[in-house]
Amino acid sequence: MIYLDNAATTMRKPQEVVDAVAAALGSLGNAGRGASAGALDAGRVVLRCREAVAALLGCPRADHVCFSANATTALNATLSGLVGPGERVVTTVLEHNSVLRPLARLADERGVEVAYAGCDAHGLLDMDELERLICPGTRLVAVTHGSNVTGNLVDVARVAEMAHAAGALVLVDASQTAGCVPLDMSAMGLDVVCFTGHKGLMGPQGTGGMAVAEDVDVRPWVEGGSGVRSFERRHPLEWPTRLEAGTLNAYGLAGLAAGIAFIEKNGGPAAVGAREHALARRLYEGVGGVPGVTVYGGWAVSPERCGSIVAFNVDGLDSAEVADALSSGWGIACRAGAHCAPLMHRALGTERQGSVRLSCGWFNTEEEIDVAVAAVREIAAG
Amino acid sequence: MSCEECCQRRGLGGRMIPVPGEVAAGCGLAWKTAPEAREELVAALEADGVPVEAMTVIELLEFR
Repeated sequence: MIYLDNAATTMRKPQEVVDAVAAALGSLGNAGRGASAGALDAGRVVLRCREAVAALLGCPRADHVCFSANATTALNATLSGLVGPGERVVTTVLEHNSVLRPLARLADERGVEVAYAGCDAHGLLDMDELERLICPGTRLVAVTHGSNVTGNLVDVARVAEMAHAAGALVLVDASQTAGCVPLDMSAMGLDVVCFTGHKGLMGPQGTGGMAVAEDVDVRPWVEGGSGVRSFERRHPLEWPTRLEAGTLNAYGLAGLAAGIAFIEKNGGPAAVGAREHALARRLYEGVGGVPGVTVYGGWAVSPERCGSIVAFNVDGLDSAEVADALSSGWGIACRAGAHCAPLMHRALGTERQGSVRLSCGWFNTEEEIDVAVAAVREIAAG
Repeated sequence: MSCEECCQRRGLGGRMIPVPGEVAAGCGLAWKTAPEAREELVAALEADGVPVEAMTVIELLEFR
């Protein structure tokens, strides 16, 4: 198999991740639940992972890194914990449903006002429109760091400037970028960064979380077991417990810490991202010139703002048909359809056709990319 | 767990225990060490920015 669906999950994991999870499964108790040797070992694993995420994302306090099952849960928790009745949120058409649907719920249930900044023909965020929408009284600006459809990156430091100038907070969805695009919460002025562990961070599925700046108050979304203050009626407000009700996935976090260590060993997110971007660029340069193929995203106008995704369609073919042909004919794994990002597809005019997404990862090779280019060429030739 | 990490890195004695009922009702963890280590412990935790919720001197049994 040629695995080019790394934007969905990095299926090939470093061996260190596999080993860490296997070791954890046979040895860890429940973190924060008692002081048995296994429970303390689990607590140590979780703490090491917390510290690794904080260092990777530039979060000044490790105890403000809170773990969840995935980015969707973290985004729900953050949005619900930050935005009150009648408040205003500005977001973008680049967002995944993990942002759009919680915001729709807040609109329905709390009367929250939601405004959406658009994009240009390449799917690049319209920063001028975004700035116009962020008016005084805006509570939160919620933006993706990288589109999961096109791979287009967003200048989140600039977004933070705009948000803070209006007195708003900024929430960044780093699902597609954590681990392969540098992020520094402190330097960029980001208030909350939500991440998943199983994509660029190369950890197991079932891991993710949020890193929260020191002075940002995210109220608990889920309440329950905390391992502390059992006789208090409501969930404790201390960090990170306030956003971590219930048993943590210590096995997964052992793997996530190993994934982050692998990234650091290989030069950190900038180096890992540069390798993946170079592969994607090779893919774009091969696919982009094929007659009958339309490539989406900013590759033609600003390749430096592209991640490691090449999204395209073949004239006259449904994206699912192309994906199936790539799989059955060449053993290429990719993703077709709407990618849970309806507003992005609406903006690109691909609501019916969807798009074919090829996404590169650390373990791909130039030879695999060349096979994919040849396959697309053959499919487009009919 | 940050407390344990801080103390172990500095070679300070002690260990994690279930929080005694005399300190807090319910559940949780506490760092157990000798009362005479208090000053050094406080300085270490302050230096590393580890928050301290409470510090109590109580008598605990040691079986082995």
